[in-house]
Amino acid sequence: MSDRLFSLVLLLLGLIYGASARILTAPFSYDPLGPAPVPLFLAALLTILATLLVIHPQPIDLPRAATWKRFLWLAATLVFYQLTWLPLGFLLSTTISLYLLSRLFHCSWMQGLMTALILSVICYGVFNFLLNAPLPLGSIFSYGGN
Amino acid sequence: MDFWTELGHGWQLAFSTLNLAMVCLGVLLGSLLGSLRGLRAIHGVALLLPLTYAFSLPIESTLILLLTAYYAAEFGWQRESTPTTETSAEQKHLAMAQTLSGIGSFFGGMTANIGMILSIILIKQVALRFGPAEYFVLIIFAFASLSIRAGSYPFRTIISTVLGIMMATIGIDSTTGILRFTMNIPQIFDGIEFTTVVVGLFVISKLFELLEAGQQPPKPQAKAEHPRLNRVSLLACRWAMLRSAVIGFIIGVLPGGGAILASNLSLKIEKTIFAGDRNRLRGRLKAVVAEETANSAAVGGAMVPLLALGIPGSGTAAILLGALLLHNITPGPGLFTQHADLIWALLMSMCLGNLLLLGLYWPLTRLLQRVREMPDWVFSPVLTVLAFIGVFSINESSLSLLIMLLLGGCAYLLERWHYPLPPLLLGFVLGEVMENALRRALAISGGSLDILYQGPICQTLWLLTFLVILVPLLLSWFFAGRTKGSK
Repeated sequence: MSDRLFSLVLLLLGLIYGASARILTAPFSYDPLGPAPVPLFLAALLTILATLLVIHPQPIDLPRAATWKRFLWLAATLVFYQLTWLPLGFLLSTTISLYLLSRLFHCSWMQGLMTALILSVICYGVFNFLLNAPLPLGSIFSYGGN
Repeated sequence: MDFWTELGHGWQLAFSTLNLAMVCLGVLLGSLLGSLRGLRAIHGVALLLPLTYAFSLPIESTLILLLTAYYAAEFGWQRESTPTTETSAEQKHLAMAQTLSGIGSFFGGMTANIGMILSIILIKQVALRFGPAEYFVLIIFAFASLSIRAGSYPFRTIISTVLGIMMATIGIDSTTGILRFTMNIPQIFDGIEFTTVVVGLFVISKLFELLEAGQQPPKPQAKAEHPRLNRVSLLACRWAMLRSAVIGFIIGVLPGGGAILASNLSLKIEKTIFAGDRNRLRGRLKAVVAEETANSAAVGGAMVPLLALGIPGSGTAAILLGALLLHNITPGPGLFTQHADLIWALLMSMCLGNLLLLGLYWPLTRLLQRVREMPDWVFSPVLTVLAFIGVFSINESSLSLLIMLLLGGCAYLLERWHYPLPPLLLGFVLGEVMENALRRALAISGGSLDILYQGPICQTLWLLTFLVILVPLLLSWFFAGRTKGSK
């Protein structure tokens, strides 16, 4: 069942991609093929194969519900990291996000806090000062960054 | 430039201080990343690529570092876990297998090095006559040879490749200049940036895998003593080593191959065709050595089509191609006329790295056993922060971080539903080249499709395309018959 659902999503993707490829036209063109045929071919191939997979799904062993819940937490943590990356700056955002992340992998709060703090300080030092790869300082603090 | 001057320049490049340091660093990082649980060469190289870019290393050092890390990750053999039921004789034998597999890897790497030189010179002669039509058929051949690895999921492999090509079509169409599938987001007008894709596909999706596995680190093992190298067992393995080095190299050259496939295939061959050995332990020894020799040889093999034609021979080689493209170097026949010293430097650094790996094999194995005990709650934050820094330092935008996360999530789901990721990466890397080659070929012929199957090179490539689809089918049928017959 789940395989069928997944193939349906791919089928839908193929249809949307194909539909948006159809309206592609070049104002004038000196190549005989133009911008649309290759995407249209890809969309057709994807749609056909996905339809075949909808008809003949294969059993897939999926993780348990508890694991999916943890996946959601992981995704939320990563998105939080991305959202706070510029506003909070590298040091603060990394410390908070890595703490949350390492707690997801079963460790005590002390272990998590130490991992997060040490990693963020080392990375900031190495990349920002040694290697000249500028990392954000945090735009909510008024002294720089983006 | 004549041959000897190029060789001399290559020598100078390979033995400059920075590049020697890169070989050492690559050896260390590669064996480290290759020995961590669940991580393979492709994940390690994916993580290193944006970081080398952030260090603003010159291209030859970047390539040497990535390539060294690639074969160092495939070097030697790590015992996953030894069942406690084994007798001491078996334990001793396993330790012997570990030593021998180091030698096998070295042998495979060196054989591949010689093979690389010979085949690059050979392909170079043909490659100069490649036009757009030939390139198009060549890429079709590359996609067809993905069927070698497709196994029981042929449709899913094709879908993965198609998804990769679809991703490559996002951005400005380079022939007509119109925007395709950009959803009016200015940051992706140039297409999705390569490192963002690589890190998303292989590093972020790994986090989800780690979370799912949720396993505890392996128990510290009893220290295995260093067995003295035994001439008898080395001699017993010599033909197995030679066979698997050649097989590994050939599989590596084929774009669908890669190290894992090479080692699986040569293991299969040793077990089914050459299983005449009555001694069970020696049979196992041979199997391990064959696997390890083959995957090291495959690394060299994967570099051949990459350097000579610009077609990567494996997923990891596709990342190396991305590194070249990031530095505005297009591999292919032009590489020999413009950057011949780069190729010689790479070959020499490979010899050097292999020697270094052989010399450090035992001390490194002991050291890395400690690293394998690193818990996930340290390991996954390290992966995350390096991925974020790497992608951010190339793109300088937090939107690319979001794209990376999105791709990572999708990649995990795809893999969970048995859609393989390396074909997706190959599709992404080769998709644009394929489309441009096709359109240029048709522009030359004035829209007639005849150009795609005229000329000896095109016809040979079409023949090879059919062979590469048919031969694995025949082989699997043959192996199925063998195993049934032996039961």
